[in-house]
Amino acid sequence: MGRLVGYADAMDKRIEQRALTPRYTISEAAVLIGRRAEAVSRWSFGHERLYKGEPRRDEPLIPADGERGGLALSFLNLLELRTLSIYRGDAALQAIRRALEYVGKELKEQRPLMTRQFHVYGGELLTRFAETDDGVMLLNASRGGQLTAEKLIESALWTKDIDYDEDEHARRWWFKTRAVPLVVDNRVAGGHPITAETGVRLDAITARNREGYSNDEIERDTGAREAEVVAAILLAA
Amino acid sequence: MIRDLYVENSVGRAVTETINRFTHNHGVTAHFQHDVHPEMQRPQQGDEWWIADIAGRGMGILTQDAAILGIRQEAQGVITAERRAVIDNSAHVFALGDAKYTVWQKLRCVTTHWDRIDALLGQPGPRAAILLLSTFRVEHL
Repeated sequence: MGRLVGYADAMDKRIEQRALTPRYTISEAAVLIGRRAEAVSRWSFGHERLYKGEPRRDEPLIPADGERGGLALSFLNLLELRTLSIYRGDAALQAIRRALEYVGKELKEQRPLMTRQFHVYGGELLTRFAETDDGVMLLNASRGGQLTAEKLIESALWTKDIDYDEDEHARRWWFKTRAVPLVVDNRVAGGHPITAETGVRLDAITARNREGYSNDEIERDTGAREAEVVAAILLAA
Repeated sequence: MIRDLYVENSVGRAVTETINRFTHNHGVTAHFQHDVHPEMQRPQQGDEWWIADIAGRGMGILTQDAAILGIRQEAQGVITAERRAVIDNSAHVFALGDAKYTVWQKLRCVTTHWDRIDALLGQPGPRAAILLLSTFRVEHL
């Protein structure tokens, strides 16, 4: 938690250029965050639709670092989408949209999903705003900045699944959980999913599995450990 | 003239050992990444680190990760840190063009294009090429 706050405070000033390099297609990002590609595309690039017979555009929820149709998304975008996906489980899209717009406009934060930690409470997004003599005040970003005292709200902190380097740049994401030794590391293998300890690409393991290699043979041929081989095969199953 | 080839883990030990069975024919010795850098993928290390290290040792690189050449990003006007590392360290990189190749297909890529690989190893870096089953595509850096 302390680390998260430190990271959040510093992130806007120290977003690492490397984390902004486009590396993933919409489809690849969808697999990694566990959402449909259509949702990832809408969240990243917006969406045209008809509302009561009138054309309407939903603006994107994150600032995509690449180009639609090509390498559309960066490592940072992946983390933003994952955060968004978690919030989306407990809050309506409109509440999330209002919160992000409010924080972007009023608090002048360009990438609020990375620079702010939100609590989802009652379907709305609240963020820590100020410490007073009466305790920490939370700002209800979904309701135009209404302030309330902090309650003991503990949402699941998925950010515990991110490793940071010594400069507190996010660099490795344990995209299943830390219990599963598979990561996306924005400095290794071009950002493709790899085994956590040995850095073997998952598709190298699954291709050998499809060829009929035993787990022992895969371990020997790639240098991956047994748990990594099993995890990669299970993920692809 | 480069006579050592660093074979990335995902390419595999079988390809490494097969290359070495014929060293007396072609004069190149292959080194499996895990044996050279067992600690490489631990936190705080990354692709630029081993690209620089291997180029500094005078070895070429055989990798499954065409991504380290950052070709698609370059088409979008972005030079990735890995591509920059290849250029700055005058590295020689041979990347398999499809990450889903079987081990046999990887070996076929290497043997089919061996003469062209060998020719690039004889030139000053940086040099890079993409190996596909029927195509050898030089990547201009």
